[in-house]
Amino acid sequence: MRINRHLFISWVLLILLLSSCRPKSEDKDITVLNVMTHDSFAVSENIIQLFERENNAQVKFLLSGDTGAALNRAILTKNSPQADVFYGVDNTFLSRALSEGIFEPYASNLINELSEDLLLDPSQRLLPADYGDVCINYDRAYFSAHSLALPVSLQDLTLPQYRGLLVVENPATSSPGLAFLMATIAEFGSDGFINFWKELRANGLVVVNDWESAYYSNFSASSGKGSQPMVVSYSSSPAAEVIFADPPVDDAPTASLMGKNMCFRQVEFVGILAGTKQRDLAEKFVDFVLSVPFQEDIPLQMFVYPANKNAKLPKEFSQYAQTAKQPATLDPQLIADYRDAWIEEWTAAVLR
Amino acid sequence: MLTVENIEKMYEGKPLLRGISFELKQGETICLLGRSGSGKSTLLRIIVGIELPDSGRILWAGKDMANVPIHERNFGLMFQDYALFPHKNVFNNVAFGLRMIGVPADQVKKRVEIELDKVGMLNFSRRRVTELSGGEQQRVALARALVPKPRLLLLDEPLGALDKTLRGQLLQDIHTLLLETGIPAIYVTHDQEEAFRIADRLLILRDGEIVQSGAPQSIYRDPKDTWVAKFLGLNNILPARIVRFNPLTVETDIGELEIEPFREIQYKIGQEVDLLIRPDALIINQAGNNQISGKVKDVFFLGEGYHVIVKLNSTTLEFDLAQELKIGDAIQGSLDANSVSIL
Amino acid sequence: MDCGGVEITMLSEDKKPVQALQFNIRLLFWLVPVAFFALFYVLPIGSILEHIVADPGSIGKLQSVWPKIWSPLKFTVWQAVLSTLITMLIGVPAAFVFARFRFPGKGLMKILTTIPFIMPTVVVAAGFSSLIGPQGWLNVLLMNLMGLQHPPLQILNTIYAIVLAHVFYNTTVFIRVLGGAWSQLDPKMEYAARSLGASAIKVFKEITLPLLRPAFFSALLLVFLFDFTSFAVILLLGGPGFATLEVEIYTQALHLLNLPMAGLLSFVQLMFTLMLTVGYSRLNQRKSLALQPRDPIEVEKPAVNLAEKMLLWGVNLVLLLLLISPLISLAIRSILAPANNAGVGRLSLRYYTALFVNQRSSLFYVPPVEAIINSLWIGFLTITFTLLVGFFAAKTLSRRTKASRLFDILLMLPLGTSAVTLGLGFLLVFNRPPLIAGHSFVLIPLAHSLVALPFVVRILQPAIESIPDIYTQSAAILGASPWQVWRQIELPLLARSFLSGGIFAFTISIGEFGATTFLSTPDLPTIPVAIYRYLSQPGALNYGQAMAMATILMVVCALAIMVVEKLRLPGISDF
Repeated sequence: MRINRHLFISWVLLILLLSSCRPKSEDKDITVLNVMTHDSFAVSENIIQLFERENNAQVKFLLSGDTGAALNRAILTKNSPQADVFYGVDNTFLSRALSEGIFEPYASNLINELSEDLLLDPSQRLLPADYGDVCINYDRAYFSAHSLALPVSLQDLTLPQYRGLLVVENPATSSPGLAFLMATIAEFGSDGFINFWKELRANGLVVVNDWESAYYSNFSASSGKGSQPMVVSYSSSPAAEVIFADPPVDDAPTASLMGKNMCFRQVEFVGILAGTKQRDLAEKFVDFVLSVPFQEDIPLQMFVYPANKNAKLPKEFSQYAQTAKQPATLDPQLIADYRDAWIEEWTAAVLR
Repeated sequence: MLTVENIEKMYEGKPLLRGISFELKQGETICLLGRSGSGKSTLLRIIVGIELPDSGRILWAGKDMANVPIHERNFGLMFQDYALFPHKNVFNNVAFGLRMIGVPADQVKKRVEIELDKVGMLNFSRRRVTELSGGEQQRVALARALVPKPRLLLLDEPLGALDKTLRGQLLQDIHTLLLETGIPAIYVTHDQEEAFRIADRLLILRDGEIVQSGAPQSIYRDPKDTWVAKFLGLNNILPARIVRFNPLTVETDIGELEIEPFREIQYKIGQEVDLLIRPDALIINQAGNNQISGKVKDVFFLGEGYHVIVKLNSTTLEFDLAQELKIGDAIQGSLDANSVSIL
Repeated sequence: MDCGGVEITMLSEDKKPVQALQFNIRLLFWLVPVAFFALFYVLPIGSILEHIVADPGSIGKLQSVWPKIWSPLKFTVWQAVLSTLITMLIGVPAAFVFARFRFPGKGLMKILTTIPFIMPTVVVAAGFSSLIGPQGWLNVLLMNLMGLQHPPLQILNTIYAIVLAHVFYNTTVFIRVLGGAWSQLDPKMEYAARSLGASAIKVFKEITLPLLRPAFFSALLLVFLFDFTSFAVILLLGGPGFATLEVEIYTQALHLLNLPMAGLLSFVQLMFTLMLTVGYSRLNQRKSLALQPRDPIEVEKPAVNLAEKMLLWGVNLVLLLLLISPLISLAIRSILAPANNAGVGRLSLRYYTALFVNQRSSLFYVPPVEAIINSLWIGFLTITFTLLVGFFAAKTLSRRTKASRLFDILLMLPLGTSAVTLGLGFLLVFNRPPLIAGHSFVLIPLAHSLVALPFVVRILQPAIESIPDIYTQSAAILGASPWQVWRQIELPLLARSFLSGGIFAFTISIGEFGATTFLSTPDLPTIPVAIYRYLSQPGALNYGQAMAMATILMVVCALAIMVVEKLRLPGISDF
């Protein structure tokens, strides 16, 4: 019996102890702004504090899975919105998100500071916040050791010397995978892309479901030491390889293939969720996101590029990361209309 | 038939069995008698083959059983809590052993029914064992153990969980069945009464050692030491001093007593010894040697007689008597020299 | 035993008010689990299905999609059957060895075999690939030994990898559920059968198996449901060539935003689970016989003969290879810095020290200690909720009425329900105060409890049924109130079951569970969340930190289980 009492008491104590480690309840006078986003979202603490101090507000982030999961959440809860601002709809989801009617238009004064080619929503409900290029990264050591020339176009990848050297992600389950599929559609058209993929398949293409597996298990230049020296990743990944190198390195072990239409430009948007009760603060936050301090914080936090033309890039980016000169792009409406059909076609041709 | 040879067993660094050796003859029933923790159940498990000894051998008809698995030994086994199979009915419990050795179904039926009839459980054959009373379960367990005609029956406190009357009755049944079938048996118990009634030979275990063995009556008459005597329920033990030989006479608190010795042991005059007086020693109102007198302190009616606590000088002794006495009665009589012994 | 009323009835002259009281208490016992289940399962799932049905035109769209359902359904069932069978082949001997033998290192092995259950699949995939990947240690070793040009083991992205991972994850279910029951089975039953001429195999078939049937089927069903709803394993280790219903639901819901299709797939999945649990409940109607808490000394013994020794060491070797070596390879990865210029790897703790530095001063940086506290906190809340609801549920179910059997079936459903659907359902239902998905942290342990509940009920119910009525009755006759009966009699007798149920709830909570993605609150990140954060970006340091964090997860979990297991010891010495 004594044992049980001890157990009970220690249980209660443990719970009390753990409760005391919980964060303190928030101050009631401060307005809270809820921002819904995907779980790859990141930002520096001091940048957000800047906004919070300025507006006497507290920003709370709701990270809900990947982009699709987060967007789904916004759609499912549109009748009683859980947040005021949504960050991270990308151009593959753009039309779909707009057609769900979950965003309110906001013509920010900062629009003219943003790159024009990123302004994909004329209704100004979703404003571009960042962009990145999904490109093929290659293992520099492998190519030089095998004195192998780099492929300069997508079509080159079907050449026999690159047999079995490329790993891509499944577009049905991975967002860089989908982006790369879009690049091939931009290059070969919606009639021709399947043939290209069939050739790739015949040339020993490796497909995995997610970026983590592709990069860390299959890619030969990552810590996983896989078998493929080419992987679909981001044009900023080489910079990350330098920043997170261990031991430190002077030069990136990887680089991106930048041929025409070899990269697909992914743009991420920010927008005010319809039905927000704090329209003013939400507008201020969107402005803040588009402003230079936040925009300059983006590269080293999320490894994508700022949408604001005035934002300066950190030196690791200017040194090791490039943006594609001729990125592939597709009309968001076209993507919204054919996305499912393309993925199905792709699945039938590449996986079955 | 069964030879147990120098069995040693340690458990967690402590000796559990030490140098156990004995033999069991055809038709003989040996009782392993000891308190709980004396190692008797472990010894049984070693004989069955559930556990292996650290050293020593178990032989059957001269053949070492070390490499014979349990199911090929053909030793029957019965537990205190019966270990009936709860998912099988009475019939299937009893039939289990026969089916395992591949007896044809019609014969199984016949033999099971005969066996169930012997233990008086024939009418229960379709019942679930979980619905039976303790005594009924025990009968089923007995039938189950006997029906494959084992060459040796091992019983581990088989009646421990039953009440006294049932125990007596079942003990008798077991005894009869053992006599009828001639199956040699090892019966483990902590109850000396049970042991006396069923055993041809007793082995008394204490801390993993056999302290005394022999026929029940000879052990009862001449327990080896105070521990054995007390363990057998013989509580009339008093200090004494040898005063002369021929006849051997000792001096005690209740007077001088003459003794008929069982053993040829050399005592010295003046030697201090423990004297055991068995409860049947007192014959009241009889003249003769070893006269004692005292007062009745308490009386228990036992049915066939009385258990009387008698105060003699500063000593209290217990006797079994046929006569009715009352508390406070003065009592006087003689002690049978054959029922008094030196430990 | 009764739910508190009967004890009084026995003493009371006037029966009427007492019966009313009894009724109320029984109702309360029903109410807690039913309310919990209705609120946190039926409501979310119901509303998500309703949402989909309410969408005009969605039904029409669905008519042409049967082939799209049939093919993943076939594969889901096939891989689940295969995985379950192979897990069983390893799990049953393992359960036997853990239940019946005493051997050095047993306690440690028991904890280590539980660890896989809690490991996030991303790191497990990394562990597997560093062992059996094309450049994995095992392949490199084999290539060197046999002078091969190509790696001999090519099982990543095959059905073998899926089965291997399922075995890795679920063997512990057999060890805990079946082994737990096995250790409570009277060994004398087996000795009696052996002495009656049954060989070891026949004893297993005729005695052990029938008596352990309920526990066996429980373990089998639980493992099957885990395999059936397997998601991350299929996605990460099976690769794109394989799609289960769960993977399809995920793809449809979150990548194609095709909710009606996802809903239909979830519905099919749910119906299959329902069919399965109904079948299971038919098989398992009888009360578990002959299981009594037993002193380990009575049940466990050292392996004596060669066959037993071979079994003991064989099982441990297999467990070591399949369950523990991937864990060890993760731990090694976490302390192995990459080769320097001389090409030699060296040991270092720098990934661990790096964990404590917010390198990019990120708002979402997760200090490891905080992640551990959050994980533990959620784990302890899950234990508390699950045991509370589980006790009431088990108590109710032990009455074995028709209604309770139905409820028993329903309780199993969360295990066979798509985590994505459940998560979306939570989003739909809990969107205003007091409970808001993503804000209300308490929803996470509640969702975990939903999954842990079937386990805990399965552990508690037989224990409750095995308490003889006479104990509680005699306590009541001695004047104990129903509360005192519970405190003085039932609780101590159930202590061991509570503890093993608690361990299960804890492991389910600590390991990631899909629906939690939708519920996670960014200000309270857990260890798995931290691991994901690191692995979502390139760079050796990120990879190393993820491995270090995974190793911390293992150690924290092992310690927590060890503490809970230690608590058991004094509690059970009394019976």
